[in-house]
Amino acid sequence: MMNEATKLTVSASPHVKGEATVTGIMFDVIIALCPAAIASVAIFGLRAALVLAVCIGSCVAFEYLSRWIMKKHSTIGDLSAVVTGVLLAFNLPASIPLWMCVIGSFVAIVIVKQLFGGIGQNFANPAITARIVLLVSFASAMTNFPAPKTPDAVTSATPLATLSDIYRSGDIAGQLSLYRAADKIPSFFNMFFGVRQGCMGEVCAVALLIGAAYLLIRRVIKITIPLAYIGTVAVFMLIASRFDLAFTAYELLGGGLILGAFFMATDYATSPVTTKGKLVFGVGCGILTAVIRLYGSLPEGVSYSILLMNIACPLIEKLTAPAYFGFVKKKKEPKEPKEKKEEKPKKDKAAEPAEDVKPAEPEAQPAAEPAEKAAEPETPTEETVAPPEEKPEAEPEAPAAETADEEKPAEPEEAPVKEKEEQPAAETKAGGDGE
Amino acid sequence: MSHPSPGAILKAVSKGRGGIHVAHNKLTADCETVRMPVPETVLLPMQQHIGAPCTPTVKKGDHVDVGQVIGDSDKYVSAPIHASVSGTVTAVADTKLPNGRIAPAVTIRSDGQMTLWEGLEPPQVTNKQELIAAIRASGLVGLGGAGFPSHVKLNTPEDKPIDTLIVNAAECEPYITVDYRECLENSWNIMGAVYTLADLLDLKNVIIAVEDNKPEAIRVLQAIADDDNDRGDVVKLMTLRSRYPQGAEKMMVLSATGRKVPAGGLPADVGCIVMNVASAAFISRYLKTGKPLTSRSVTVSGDCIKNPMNVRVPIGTIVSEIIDFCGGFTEEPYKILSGGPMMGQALVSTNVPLLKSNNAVLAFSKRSAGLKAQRDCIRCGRCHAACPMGLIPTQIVKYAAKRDAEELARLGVSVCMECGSCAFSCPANEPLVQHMRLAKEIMREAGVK
Ligand code: SF4
Ligand code: SF4
Repeated sequence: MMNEATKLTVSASPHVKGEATVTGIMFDVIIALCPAAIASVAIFGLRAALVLAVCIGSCVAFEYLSRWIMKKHSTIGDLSAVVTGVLLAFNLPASIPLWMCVIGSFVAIVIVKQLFGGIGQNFANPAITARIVLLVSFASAMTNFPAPKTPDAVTSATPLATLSDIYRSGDIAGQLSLYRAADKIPSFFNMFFGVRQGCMGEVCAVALLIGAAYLLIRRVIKITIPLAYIGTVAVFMLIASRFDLAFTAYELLGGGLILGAFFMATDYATSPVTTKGKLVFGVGCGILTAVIRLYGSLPEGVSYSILLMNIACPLIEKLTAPAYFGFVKKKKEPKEPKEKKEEKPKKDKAAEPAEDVKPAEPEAQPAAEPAEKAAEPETPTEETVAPPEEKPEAEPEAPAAETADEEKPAEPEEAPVKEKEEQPAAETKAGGDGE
Repeated sequence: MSHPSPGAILKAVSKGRGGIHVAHNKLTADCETVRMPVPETVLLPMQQHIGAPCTPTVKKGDHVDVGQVIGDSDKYVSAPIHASVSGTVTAVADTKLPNGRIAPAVTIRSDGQMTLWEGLEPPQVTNKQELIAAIRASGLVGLGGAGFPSHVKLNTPEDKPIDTLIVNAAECEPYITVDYRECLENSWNIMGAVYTLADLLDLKNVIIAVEDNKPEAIRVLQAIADDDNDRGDVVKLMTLRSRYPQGAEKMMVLSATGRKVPAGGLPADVGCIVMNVASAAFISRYLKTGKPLTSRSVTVSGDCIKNPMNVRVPIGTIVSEIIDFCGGFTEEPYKILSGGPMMGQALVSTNVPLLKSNNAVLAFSKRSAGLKAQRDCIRCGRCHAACPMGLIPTQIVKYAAKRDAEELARLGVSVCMECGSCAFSCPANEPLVQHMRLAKEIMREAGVK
């Protein structure tokens, strides 16, 4: 039947492929960002749409141009530049001059992404880095937040700045209720639906949570990082405020925490791939954010926290390397199978360098074991997590508290990072507000 | 039919991780195995197993009968080759195997008689050593695809007591249905094998493992498992969640016993032997008849095959003849595989013989097996999530590119079983299995284990 001339294709197994594609994943992220994008236009008016359009357009253009100049195949089809554009816009105030958007896009796409080799190769989140560059360069434009286009909006400092003052006053419960009574801080309802000052995409918690639910259901992201992140912040805030629930809720809804935890900290390229790594990463982000907000000179710390943890990501991955199947800690046991096989003399010699490697990381391994166990029961949660529209802070507290405690000894890298972090905080002090 | 006694079915505890959902596409599940007419010639390579190749023991012009030894080796890890048709040896020459290796092969022109060799008689087996000697003489290798000589597997060292035999009927690869048909058509042999092995190897447990998407097989195997309730209930049936790669040895041991085979080790290290269900059925048949491994069932399927079916063919039959027997192609095939779509080997040509370990011949059009454009890794972690061995393929790719053997060893590349779950899941279409092989090669060159 088949003539011999027929050319058969030969390739490595497997010969069938799953459905997932890069473009499909990015498209899902775009869909997930839509509710918050619509909300931002509803809250801040058409100006927000303009900022969005400029950011997306310039990101795609820069992506196309830089690939063209570097003579590499075009990657605008994978839609990742669109995602970066939307996220960048979400991190800017709606009143930002449009040329600054273009500069931000340039930083995000050309400097952070393409100069490091394109998608998957960047060491830091493009949108976050761009935001921080803009914040440092154009502090006043970046911190001059327009008021929401709604009648009952509170026009004063951002909620986080207010919270910072409240925390410093010492009498948290009393001060907070005073502020609330005097309408100096938005009501919970307004916080939840985004009627407050802030960056375009971060204000509307409910829209962000709908998008996050979509990403979780589509399994584009795992719940691990957001849960660890928000959970850690919640625990910190609860303790710092001596268990003042209202204060903690404001902290969770305020600023860019929800946007950051679900959409930025989960960026594939700059977060660990393993569950244990994700836990450490999320807890690290949470600790940094809480520390910056409470003790730093900035009211907001989400961007800085994520950026710092992005940089620490390769280290985290190394220290939290999971045990692969059948990994044996002691030298004793792996030797047995080796002796069994026939090429015994060769293998024993070969085994020596391997054994040098193993003792080199005993710190990571033993600590890793319990953490793995703690991580595993979470997996079912992430599958059933369907309705995260309900406030995430209510539930996560308990599990996050546990993991937070367990994780702390496992992150020796945490301490130095924390100290370093305060310097960039000080630099932008002049701007007075990272929010 | 006996009712499943409550609690008799072991539900596999889902201790394993990773794995993927693959469309089953078991098109031939309801096709009773058909015996193919005797081919005119067969080509029998001297290397159809993992281990030392055999040396031909016949020369051109010799007359051979079915079951006569035509190649053997004095090495222990090897399995003799038997004539699969009766007729005349027309050539003894080197040939290229589907995997690209060169091995000597014996060509036999069939006389159409299929005369059995007169030297065949049922072996006398009363203890483990005799069983192992008999199995070596039968030429049996793992029929599930790996091709590891079965006697080596059964001959576990004294210091590693074996308490559990796992009969693997999971058949988690898509399309392939030979094991499933074996369960339905040869349940008596499976049952015989189970009892013989349990007695001779003094086993405490025999666990027949099957995926839960095969209710018919479960019904039949359940009857076997129930039948020994009065003998101490050694035999149990275990249903596995159907998830690829449930049929992999280490996965099987984990699901059945909760034991983890150490990296670099074998199931025997944790007291288990895993045997394919068709291999087990063969052992029973061999002990009764003394007829060595000269034919096997093979699933011929895929969207380019006119009449997908299960065929029983003499070993060494040329693949293109088997395809012709199944009605040939409906359209020009893009890829032809020996084995399943996840781990099978793509053939360069169909002018190759069917080997002992080939459980399927699949022909695919470009539509269903077309290569997808490769993109850059986005570090999404899907490969890690899918890997049943807990490896991190994306990092392995990175260190393989740097040829860093030490890091590769730390990442545990050697436990990779090339199941393909990672590459299946990769949105960037990275050829991850190829990278894994490269990584192993780098480690081998550097002498790192
Ligand atoms: S699945 Fe593919 S794209 Fe995702 S991390 Fe693995 S190699 Fe990279
Ligand atoms: S091929 Fe290897 S690395 Fe990939 S999923 Fe299978 S065992 Fe894991």
